[in-house]
Amino acid sequence: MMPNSIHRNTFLWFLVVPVLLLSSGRIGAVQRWDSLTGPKPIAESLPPDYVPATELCEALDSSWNWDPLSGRFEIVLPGDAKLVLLVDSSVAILGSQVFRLSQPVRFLQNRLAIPRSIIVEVLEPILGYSIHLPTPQPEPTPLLSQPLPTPAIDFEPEVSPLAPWTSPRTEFDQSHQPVRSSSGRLVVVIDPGHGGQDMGSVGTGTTSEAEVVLMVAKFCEEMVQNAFEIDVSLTRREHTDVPIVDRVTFANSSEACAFISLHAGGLFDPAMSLPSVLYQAPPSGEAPSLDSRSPDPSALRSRFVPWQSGSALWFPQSRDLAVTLHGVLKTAYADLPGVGTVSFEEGPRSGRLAILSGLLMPGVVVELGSLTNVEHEQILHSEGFQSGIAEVLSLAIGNWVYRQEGRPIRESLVP
Amino acid sequence: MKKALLVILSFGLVILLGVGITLLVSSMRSPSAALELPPIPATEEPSDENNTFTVPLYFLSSDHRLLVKERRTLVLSGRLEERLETLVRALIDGPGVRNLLPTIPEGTRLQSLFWDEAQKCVVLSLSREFIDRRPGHALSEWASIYSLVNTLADHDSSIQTIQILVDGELVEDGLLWDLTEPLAPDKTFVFYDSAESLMSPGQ
Repeated sequence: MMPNSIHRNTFLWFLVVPVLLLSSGRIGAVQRWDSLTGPKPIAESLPPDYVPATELCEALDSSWNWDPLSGRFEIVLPGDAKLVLLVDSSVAILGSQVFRLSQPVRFLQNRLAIPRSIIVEVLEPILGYSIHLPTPQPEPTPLLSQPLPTPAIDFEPEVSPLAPWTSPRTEFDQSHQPVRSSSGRLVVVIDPGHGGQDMGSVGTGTTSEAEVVLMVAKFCEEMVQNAFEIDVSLTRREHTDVPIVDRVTFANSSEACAFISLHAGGLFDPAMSLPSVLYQAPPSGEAPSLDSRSPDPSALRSRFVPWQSGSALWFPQSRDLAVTLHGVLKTAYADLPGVGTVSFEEGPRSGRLAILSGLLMPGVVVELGSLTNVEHEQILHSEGFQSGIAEVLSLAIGNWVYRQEGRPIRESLVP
Repeated sequence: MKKALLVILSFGLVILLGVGITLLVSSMRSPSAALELPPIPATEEPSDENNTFTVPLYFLSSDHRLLVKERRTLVLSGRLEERLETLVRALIDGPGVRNLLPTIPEGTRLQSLFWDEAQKCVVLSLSREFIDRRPGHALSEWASIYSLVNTLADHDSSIQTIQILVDGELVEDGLLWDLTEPLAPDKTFVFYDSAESLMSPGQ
């Protein structure tokens, strides 16, 4: 038997501790939203230039698919065409067409909000008839769960305005497996950076980045296609200007399973050369990467911070490709004769890269070397180096794609 | 006998203390790219009453891999915009510390700077040289962008993001880095070192 004083003390502790905790708000209170995600999505109406996704779909009499993990919202249009919208992105994708909205799709007040401008910028040109949405409602609409308002299309189209849907481009593979082209072969897009008026970096010996990367890309195209059952598409084959958005659009419409953008830019210290590989991922502090997501959907929702979600689905694959190419580039510089000493980072870098934003496949930027370095300019200019580095990259790219497919990898490019 | 024992114990303690301090100092001085350290608090230190402050400016390490804080004493007065303009111009002028590299392409000018208090965002416009004279490497662009973003964000804790424009326009083409949206500071590749306070001009 314990003494009575201990019993009394124990009883007092059981009484006092919960009272203290309750008064400090630690238990017995619902966890505040803003302790998880910042400001609470209080009941507010959306800005007047935005419309809830559900209202838009109802006005279109369309069904929709919503993936909160990737932030991808699909509106199923007549003819089963899917218009893909991405949270925090101004890009709308319909098959091989990419539209730029004047405002991005947002996640506002706990609702998916689509800019009203989508009607005149995308929907009306596609559908061929005018669409009227209800005027903005002052009451809030819970995310994708509010009873849908009455359809508001003012008249029926006489004929289906859409051409027969032929492209399989919108059939994104949810399991992240490479998508096959209509020829049955996998496709890799290689993007020789710059071109046309934009020569990129130019060395003291007038070698231009645009010229070097185009040569390497053409070598890669030939080598990969010959050694692997993979088609290679180049974003440019000549010295022409290609805007970044067109390069991304081209890659998306090519049903590619990987995108490699080649560069050979200069550094602030011209004595240096720093071959590098970069991939798309949010910088620290901006958003969680998908591979850090929690299996608990409610926890995920609370941490849902969409960021450039066009490429968000492929962060882990992009990193894997980047790690692979960084490794072979490092080895190549060690093995190739006459390249001298170059610096290397410990691994690939990630960041918000314009050329990789909106890509619907794994993508990387490869800096082959630095043209501002006089020695390296000569090396990068030589055909021997260009074909040598292309060989190394081609083998790595081909094997990376094969590995995704579970196919046996090759030891060399020779069949 | 007891005295001798006490003397030996004291010696032992002194030696242990010395070894401990040496290890601690050496571990603090070793640079690391895996920077999981807590953020350094606001580093502005008023030097005197003439509005001179010692502020951190981010420049590039000589190996081109990290941003390094240089502590610079500047006269900062007036509105927030004016103070931020002074910081941007100091960045454009380049580092005052040997072994640090500049981060802003030569010839770049600051055209305007605006503080959007509602969005907690600084909007600044740079001249075309920011794109035209950039060295071109993705990591050079990274250094240019994040030296600006980190330097401005460090100045005032209310600054959350920085939107960089060129000739007053959003940059949608021409750079590898995405500048179409405001950027939050990123200290992943910042060199944290106990010796950072030694990084001052003239070294």
